[in-house]
Amino acid sequence: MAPPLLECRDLSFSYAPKSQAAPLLANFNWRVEAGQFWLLQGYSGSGKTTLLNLVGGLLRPQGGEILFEGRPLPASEGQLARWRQEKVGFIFQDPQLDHQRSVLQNVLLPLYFGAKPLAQGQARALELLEFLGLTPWKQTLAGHLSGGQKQRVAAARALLNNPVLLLADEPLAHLDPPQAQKMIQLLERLQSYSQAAIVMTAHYLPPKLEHPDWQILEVGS
Amino acid sequence: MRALRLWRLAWGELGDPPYKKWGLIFSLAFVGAVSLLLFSLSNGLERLVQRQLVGELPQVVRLEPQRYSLGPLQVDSGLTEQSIETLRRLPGVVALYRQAHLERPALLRAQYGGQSFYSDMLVEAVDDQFFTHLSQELDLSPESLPSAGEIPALLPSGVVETLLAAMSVHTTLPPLSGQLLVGRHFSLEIGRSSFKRDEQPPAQLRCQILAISPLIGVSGPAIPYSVAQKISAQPLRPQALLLFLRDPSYLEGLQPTLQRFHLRAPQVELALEVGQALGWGRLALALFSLLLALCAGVALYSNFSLEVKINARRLALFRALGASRGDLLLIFWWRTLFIGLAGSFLGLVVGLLAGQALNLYGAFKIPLLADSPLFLPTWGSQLWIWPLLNLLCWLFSLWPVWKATCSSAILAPNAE
Repeated sequence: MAPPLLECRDLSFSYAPKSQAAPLLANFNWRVEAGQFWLLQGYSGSGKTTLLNLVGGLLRPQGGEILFEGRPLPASEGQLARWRQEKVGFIFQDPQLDHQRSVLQNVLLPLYFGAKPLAQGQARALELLEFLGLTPWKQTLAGHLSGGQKQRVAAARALLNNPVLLLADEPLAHLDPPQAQKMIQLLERLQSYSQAAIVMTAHYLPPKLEHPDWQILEVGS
Repeated sequence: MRALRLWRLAWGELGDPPYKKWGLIFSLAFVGAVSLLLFSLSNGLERLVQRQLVGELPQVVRLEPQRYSLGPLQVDSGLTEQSIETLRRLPGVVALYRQAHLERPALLRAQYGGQSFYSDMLVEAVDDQFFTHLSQELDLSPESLPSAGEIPALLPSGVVETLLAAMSVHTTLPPLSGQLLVGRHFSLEIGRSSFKRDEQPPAQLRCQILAISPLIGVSGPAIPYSVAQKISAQPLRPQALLLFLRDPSYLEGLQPTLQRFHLRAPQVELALEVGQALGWGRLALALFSLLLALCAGVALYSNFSLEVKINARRLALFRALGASRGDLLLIFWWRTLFIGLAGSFLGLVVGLLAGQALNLYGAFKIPLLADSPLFLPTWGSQLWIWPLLNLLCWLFSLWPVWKATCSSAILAPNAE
């Protein structure tokens, strides 16, 4: 039987490990299979983003372990950076685009840190822009795009290296219900297109936005 | 390949492209130009002072024992075979010749224009090899060399000047130049003196003037050591040395050995003292340049710190997108390298141009500076500007860049 894509075993984490306060995560266990869509729900400060950072290798757990495809996350900083580049895509609450650069240049940014040939990366970027309906704006400066378009550019950037795990941190925050609906549709389209597992954090969503196929994890409960 | 990609990123992804960092580039260029100017001016000044005070540093040096005064008595430490051998083996020494006084009195007799001249002289003996050396150096033809029975002799320039002055005052003979005396003859009557006759039987030597030299004795002609030894009642005792160096730059390295053997080189002492005094001046200039470099370094440090702070979120995004710490390091070092290279190049060009302009102006205003320009850059100072300024740039950006590489990727998701 193939190992799960991601597995947390007895995971513990605290931002103040020496204090007497209860840790944010204690003996936390979780499995994510390939292609699943996970919604991490919880109140502010419940540890959703922290969990996302831990499984994305941006934070190191203080206890327990995180296995990716059956193997622990790389120990060295350089190997972890390479792993993150090859396997994980991030979509942030703020798209963080360089407004002085074109849409295409923004999407190509991860290529600077990898070994993938530029021509190959460019072909993939054009394909993603086509899929996300951004081809007419590929040479437009990112600063001239609407909020929704910027989120789509950020999504294309996250998928450039064909990640198997897409981590979306609060992508619906500050969006009105119609925009949030569009964002969810975008994520679902990305999942069916890339076959990547998606983990999305959010405050409590209105039931009408939730999808019956989603796995839901209450963080901090 | 990856480094080149990161260079593209370094060129414009973090704030201003490095070529727009004019403030930093100019401050580095200022340090480079001022340092080059100051050091090259001190070179020119040193040469000018040495030329004016002592002339060019010699390649041939006369060494004498140091003399000590004990009340009315003056004693010297003398020269030993050991000191002569040690000096002969020193680096840069091409040849070493002994000089000794002949202790017997001597009378120089010469004729010119039908008039006779005779005078008491102190005869000096110089190693025979020196005469061979001089013949080769002067490229003397066989006919200008002394014939059989004649002895080659050298006249000290001081004696020649006294002789010519006396001739112009006391005779009506046409004046002679020192060079016209070369090849002429005179006789030395060893054992005779206007003061006192020698107790030994007198000897007569017929000499031919081989050259006029400022390097040998002061009070009389010099003849080969072997000839002097034959007519001397006792073994000759060296009282000075003639040292031929490969290059005048070896003079400074010679000083400790000279001091060890209580020897001195009167010609070069002043030059070295001037050099030492200017050495202190150079140290002061170096400290001033260091101070300027520190100011530029502080500007660099502040600028890079600010850049890292402003771009913290962007650097975090790079980390989240897969940049390693090495990648961030390389991005900043590309920027540092460009600023360092541009600053040092600009500094070098401005420094050289300003120095040449100063030389032209100096030569135009002060005739003395036409032959001895004040701005005298050495290859060393021009080549050192590059690594020094780049090192400065690298050193002062090290801490902010290190902080940049420690940027946590978790800043990125927490944007807004």
